[in-house]
Amino acid sequence: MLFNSFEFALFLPAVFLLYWFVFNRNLRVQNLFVVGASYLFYGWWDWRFLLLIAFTSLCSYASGLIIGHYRQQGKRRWARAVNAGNILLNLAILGLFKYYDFFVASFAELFGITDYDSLLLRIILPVGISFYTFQALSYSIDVYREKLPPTRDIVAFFAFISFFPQLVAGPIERATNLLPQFLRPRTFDTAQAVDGLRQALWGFFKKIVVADNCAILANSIFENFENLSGGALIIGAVAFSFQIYGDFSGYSDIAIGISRLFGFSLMRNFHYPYFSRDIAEFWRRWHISLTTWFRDYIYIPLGGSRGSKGMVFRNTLIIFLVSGFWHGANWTFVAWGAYHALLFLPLILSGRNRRYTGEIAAGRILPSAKDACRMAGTFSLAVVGWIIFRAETIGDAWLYIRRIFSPAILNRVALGSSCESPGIHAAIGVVILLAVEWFQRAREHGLQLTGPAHIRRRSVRYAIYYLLILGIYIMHAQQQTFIYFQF
Amino acid sequence: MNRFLLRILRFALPAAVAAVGAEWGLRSIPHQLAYKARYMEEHAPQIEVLSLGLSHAFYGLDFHASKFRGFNLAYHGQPLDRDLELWEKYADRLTSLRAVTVPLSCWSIHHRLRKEGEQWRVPFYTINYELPVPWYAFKERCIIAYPAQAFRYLKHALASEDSLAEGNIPQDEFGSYMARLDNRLPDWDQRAAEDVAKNHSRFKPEDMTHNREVLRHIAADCAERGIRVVLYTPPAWHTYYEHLSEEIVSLTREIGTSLAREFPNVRYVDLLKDRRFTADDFFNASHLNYDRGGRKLIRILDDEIAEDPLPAK
Repeated sequence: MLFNSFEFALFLPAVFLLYWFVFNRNLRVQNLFVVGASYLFYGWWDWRFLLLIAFTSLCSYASGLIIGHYRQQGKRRWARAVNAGNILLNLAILGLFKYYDFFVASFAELFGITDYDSLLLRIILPVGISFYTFQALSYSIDVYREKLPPTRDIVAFFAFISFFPQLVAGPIERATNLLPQFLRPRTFDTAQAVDGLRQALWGFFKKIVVADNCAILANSIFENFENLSGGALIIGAVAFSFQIYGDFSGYSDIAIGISRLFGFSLMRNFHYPYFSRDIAEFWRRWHISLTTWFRDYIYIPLGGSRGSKGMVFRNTLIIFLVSGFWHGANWTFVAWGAYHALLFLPLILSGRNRRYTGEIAAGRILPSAKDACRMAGTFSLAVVGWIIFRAETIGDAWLYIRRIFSPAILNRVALGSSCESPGIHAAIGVVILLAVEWFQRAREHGLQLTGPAHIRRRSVRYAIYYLLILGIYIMHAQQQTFIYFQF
Repeated sequence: MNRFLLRILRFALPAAVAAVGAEWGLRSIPHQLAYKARYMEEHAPQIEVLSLGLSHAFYGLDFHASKFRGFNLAYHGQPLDRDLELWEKYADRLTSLRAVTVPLSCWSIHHRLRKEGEQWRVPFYTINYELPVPWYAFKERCIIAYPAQAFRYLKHALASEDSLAEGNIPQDEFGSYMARLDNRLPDWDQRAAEDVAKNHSRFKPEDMTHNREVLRHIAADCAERGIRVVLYTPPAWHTYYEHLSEEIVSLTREIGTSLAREFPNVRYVDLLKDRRFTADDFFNASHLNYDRGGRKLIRILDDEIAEDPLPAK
């Protein structure tokens, strides 16, 4: 079920009312209802893969109990073995569904084997498998690290893994944050719910107006890049940059906002990344739940940035390559990770990776010229990365970039009539997005109305909501699936 | 909680009232499909020739010049799967029907109603022909689901423009759009030609397969009822057909000829490059006009219908 679908418009109010009015007397029953609703939400796409989620949940739940048991008895080695077993099992499932065919094809091509078709499984990639697998892994690892006790409440655990707002595209929640919320009774908080709705509305705007219109522009340019001018290719790359941001951060805003309706607080996933002043800051602001996951479960266990420069180099490279590979079974994602590693390494090796940790242009309306240049530079570097990410092959990405910097840049930009209306809507959407997020950059989300009193007046608030809804209505484009579903 | 629900209600109510009001207002604008539906309800038993299809048939047929009592059920962008739905709705009531004519153009053979950019037409059919769709299929029921088209529709209705856009535009009593030669744009032969031809040449094989099956379905049903089916590739001006891909032209012909071979009641005429049609017969590079080309075409189709009568029903 998509957030931007009619089915979801019926599903959400029904689940909300049942959750608070019918199933609120008993925590276990309420959690069971969350599991049921989440499985319905996921099963709407393909019910067969519910078994996979259930299996993943069961394995991690059992692993947690066994690890806890061995920990209690002081059998650390056994606990480590069970934890490793659970990690391997989860990664094997992920590998089988997501990477098996890719490895077979890559291996065959490397050794010049042409007749490998019969070895391919051609399984459909279960939506959101990388998200819930990582969430499940975080639980058993944290239990092993004694960051949280193993839970005996299987219903709460299943609800934690399958919680529908963030099941298919994150944020990738940590068991330490979300699981305890399923173990204690929730009370309805009107202010939280209202702000959650605002955040969801802003997410819908980013998805439906910005991402979906940019998608039409980006798709038509990337599919035909060999025949277009350099100017058109720049437009395509920038359009994809806003498509992926609007799509993914929009999804995160909707997920976090909806969760707040049910009394849950999810972690922040985006912190206005296109206002970053260098790539290190960009990575502290982009897909925070995944970046911190890799930091806590791979980078730090590898030694982090404590060892020699060689170690730091190795660990950073690993983390970026794995992060790229997490996104999908294609060398373009690995190349994208490597590209960002190349940008990040000089910063971390010279100790300048934490230069920009504070708010941008704090206390000022506009950034200084220096900050503006830094932001534009970082954005440009990110855009080049998105070309690699979006291209079908590394060769295509290279050709695309080369064509931008060729005499073709002087050719007339002609995108065809099908791009006219989405192009205008995308441009308007991007301008609104940048303006709103710039002025709201110190706040949690673009529509958090906690500013001066005149903003908080009901008439002003309602006017803003109605304008956004009208904008979504008038400028909506052909419905597109959320990009991160495929990861 | 109750306070929260009240706030939601207070916020949503004006928006809901505005949406319902807008939909009601748009539906109350007279639409050509409503006329066609009403005509079919009232006159179906008297119709001898039924013209299905999209704009190639909607623009370019003048039943005043026909030997038979015909009706043009074709419409802008009306694809074959919609033709089939309309056929199934009215077939039993068409008791005098001798023939069904279907344009087999390089666009119609792969055009689909629900494909990207065309879904906005769906509610007009649902509303005017009262076609069954699930109650929750908001986008198949509501004109306001497509704001850009809804605004354009309203604009044309308010201005009463004689426009080519969907909506309140003139058609004759037999359901044909009156695309007159006088209204043709001065740059008609260049304007439409190349872009449109190239667009028509891009297709997905699965759409073509689907539409072939739809045609087979119509042909088989007509065969059972003893009704002739005339498939025709409509005439076009050279600035259009010169830019069509050879593949699409030959596939269109292949579908027509293979259906004519398979079903004894089906005839296929390829008029794409027919020299009988001159510049004055066209409204634009891919459509005949109503006053000249439309008359020529209806006479050619009449001859096809009149030849080799089928066994009596």
